[in-house]
Amino acid sequence: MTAAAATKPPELMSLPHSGVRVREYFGMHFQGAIFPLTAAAAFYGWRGLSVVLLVLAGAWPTLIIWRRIGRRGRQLETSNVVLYAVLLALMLPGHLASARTDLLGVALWPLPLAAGMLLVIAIWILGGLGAGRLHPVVVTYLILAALFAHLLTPQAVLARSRIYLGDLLASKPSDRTAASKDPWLARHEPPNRETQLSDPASEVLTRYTSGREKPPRGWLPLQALLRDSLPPLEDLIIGGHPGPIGAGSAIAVIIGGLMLMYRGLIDYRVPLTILLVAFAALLLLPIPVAVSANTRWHSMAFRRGDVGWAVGVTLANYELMASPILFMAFFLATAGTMQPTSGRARLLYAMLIGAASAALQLYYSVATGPYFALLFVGILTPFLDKIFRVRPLVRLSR
Amino acid sequence: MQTPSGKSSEGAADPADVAPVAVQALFRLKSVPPSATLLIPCRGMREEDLASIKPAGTLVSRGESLVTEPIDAAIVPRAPVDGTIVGQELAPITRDVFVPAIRFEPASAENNHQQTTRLTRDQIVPMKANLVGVGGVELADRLAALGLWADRWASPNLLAQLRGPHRRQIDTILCNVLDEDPAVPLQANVAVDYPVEVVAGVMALATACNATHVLTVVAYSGPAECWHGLRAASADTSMRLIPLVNDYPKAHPSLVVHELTRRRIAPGELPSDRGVLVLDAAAAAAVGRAVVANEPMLSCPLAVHDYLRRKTHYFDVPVGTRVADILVPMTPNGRFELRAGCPLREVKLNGDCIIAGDELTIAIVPPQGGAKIEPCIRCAWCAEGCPVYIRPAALLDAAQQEDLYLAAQNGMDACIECGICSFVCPSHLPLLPAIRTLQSLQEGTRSRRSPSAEKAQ
Repeated sequence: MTAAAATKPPELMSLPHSGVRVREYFGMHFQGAIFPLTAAAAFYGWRGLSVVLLVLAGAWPTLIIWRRIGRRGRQLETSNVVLYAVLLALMLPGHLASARTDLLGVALWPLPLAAGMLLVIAIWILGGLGAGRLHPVVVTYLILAALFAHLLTPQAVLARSRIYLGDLLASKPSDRTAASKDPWLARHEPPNRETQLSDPASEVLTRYTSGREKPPRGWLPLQALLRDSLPPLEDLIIGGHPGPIGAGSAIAVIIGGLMLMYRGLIDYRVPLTILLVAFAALLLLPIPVAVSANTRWHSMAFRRGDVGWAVGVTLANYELMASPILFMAFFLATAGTMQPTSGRARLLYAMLIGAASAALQLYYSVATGPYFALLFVGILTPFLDKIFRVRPLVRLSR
Repeated sequence: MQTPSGKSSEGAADPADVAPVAVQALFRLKSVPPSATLLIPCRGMREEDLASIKPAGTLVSRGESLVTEPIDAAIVPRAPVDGTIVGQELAPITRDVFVPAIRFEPASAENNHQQTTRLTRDQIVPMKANLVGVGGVELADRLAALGLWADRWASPNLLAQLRGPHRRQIDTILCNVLDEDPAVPLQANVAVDYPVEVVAGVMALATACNATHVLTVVAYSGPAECWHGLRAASADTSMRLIPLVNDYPKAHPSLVVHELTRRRIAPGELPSDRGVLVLDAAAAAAVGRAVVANEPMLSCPLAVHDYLRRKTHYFDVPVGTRVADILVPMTPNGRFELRAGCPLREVKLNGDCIIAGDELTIAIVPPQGGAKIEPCIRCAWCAEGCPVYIRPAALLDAAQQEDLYLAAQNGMDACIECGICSFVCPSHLPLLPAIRTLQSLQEGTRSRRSPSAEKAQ
């Protein structure tokens, strides 16, 4: 009996049921999301929380309407929609909670609102509660990313002295700076500067590893990229760097995931395998050792004398921390609708996600690669369940 | 096997090192006087055999056979007390299972009830000497002649295990003192009350089967008196005590046998087919009394756990007593339902069911109202909680489609019906009833091909 199953021992119950119903089940998952939510409030202030509220505000009336549509509509569960809405909000950047038009040319607040509406419709279309092998949150996010990619690129993070209280959009575009060498925790901040604007590390990495980088001097080696163009790694771990409000702080995501593991809600093998395989794949897959007019990709680049283990491992670390792979591994890939039932199938599922995620991050997009990987591998789940049949501890027949 | 102290019980030098911790109170089994009418089950009898039952109106004394002549492979029904045979009828063992039974009226004398015989340690060694050369089949016949019957969830059919045929020679006798529901330590109480009888029964079986390993499994968190009593009673024997953490449903023989011997019992097999004879403390005590004192099985230990009042009652009940007769003194005012064994298994009883060596614990539970069933959210808690690693949610799909091929693919045969899947399901899906539906469907339509199987051909 797993920890999840042993929510109430038989001797304490009055009815032969654990007492954990669907609402409590999703409520327990929500407890894990509290940590990224707290990080969102800290690093993106009231605008970060406003994004969450806007998504919820979009989802709520849509839920009321779509509940009336068909038998599938009656199965829509409020706690499930709330959890998914929060997860979706955590994948969005904080600047979307804005009515200003001077930043990107349009008012952005309708976007999270529409995201909430789209999420409920996606849950309904993809089969309702517990059905379907496409995660509605991922599908919704990828639709938004396809339509509004430039609006979903994170722009800013609050300055250390203004966490929780600052306004994410208080700085002007002219305040944009290059990647700082000093870590966010020890960085010297100009007075009255509420935010730090910079290119997110995911964008820099995507441009480099996909060969789209246009180096100013015509040649950019990997070492120079890591040294000059990327923020300190601890910024990505803590969250002091522009990113999605919930997925930007790796440490908050990990703590939330550990919380889910502690409560017995997720299978630890899934996120662990995803991350290990992704790390290994990032070391093995071909990467450009230097970007130039004739960029060449080398597999196992760490074995080359001009790269070495330290640089190879550092790049893999940056790829893992700059992408939403941690968030995907802990909060999305472990969803019951996504993962197979048997342990062996889950291992293969996680390995496929890890490998696909690494490949998509390197050659397509760091920001959306893990979500596409989950989308593709999730479709295979029914087949994985068929391949790995049950191996029961066989019965005693009387 | 690792004991809680970290030592391997296989090579444990001193059992005192791993003595269990006493956490549960003990209750002596309360002897229940016979009720006005008893229904003595006639197991293993064919319809034509029922003619050999003594005619109505016959006066019989305590322990006397109720049939005129012994019947092959049948359990000889015996009078639990002095009384009169009234007639024959069908009696329910559970709500859905009926057996032929003899209606019996006990005599009205106040002392028409005797305590069971108490054995002493001195009787064990001579008993073993007497059993040398007696095989399992012969011992089974002796026990059947004394009306002994034990076939329950945690202690499968004892006589069938003894009679075989076995695919493998029995080399291990496993006395299962683990209680099905750890909150209702009936087996532990039996072991405390009758330690010598338990040891005598286990050693008798070991001698008859020529078994080399004699194991008694005790709950690690059970009463310390159980451990110490059995240890004292088995001091001069080869029986080994093994403590195990008793998490429900660990008491099931499939799980205990696998944990101790790593042997897997295949579908359709008894543990004896894998060389292990499994019985519980109540069965062992009955065997001990039968072999040493030639005493028939005239009463059964019984535990009634009242989930409404959170009280447990322990009884020693004459064979054939109706459940309602036991419950009368403690009948709760209000609505309740009865379950045999742990309530998670959802084996329903009613007041007319009789107590006769089948399930020995009864649970009084609140009425199970129509819980709201929600769609499966694919949380996989049913599969993760399943102690035998099957996929109950997939079996529910199979039950809805009446697809036995799909059911077999997802481990229907391996289900031990512990009910954990239904217990943990957030959607309150009827997983255990679905599996039972599939199993009855399989029994009814073994020859019929399922749609998936036809497709697979």
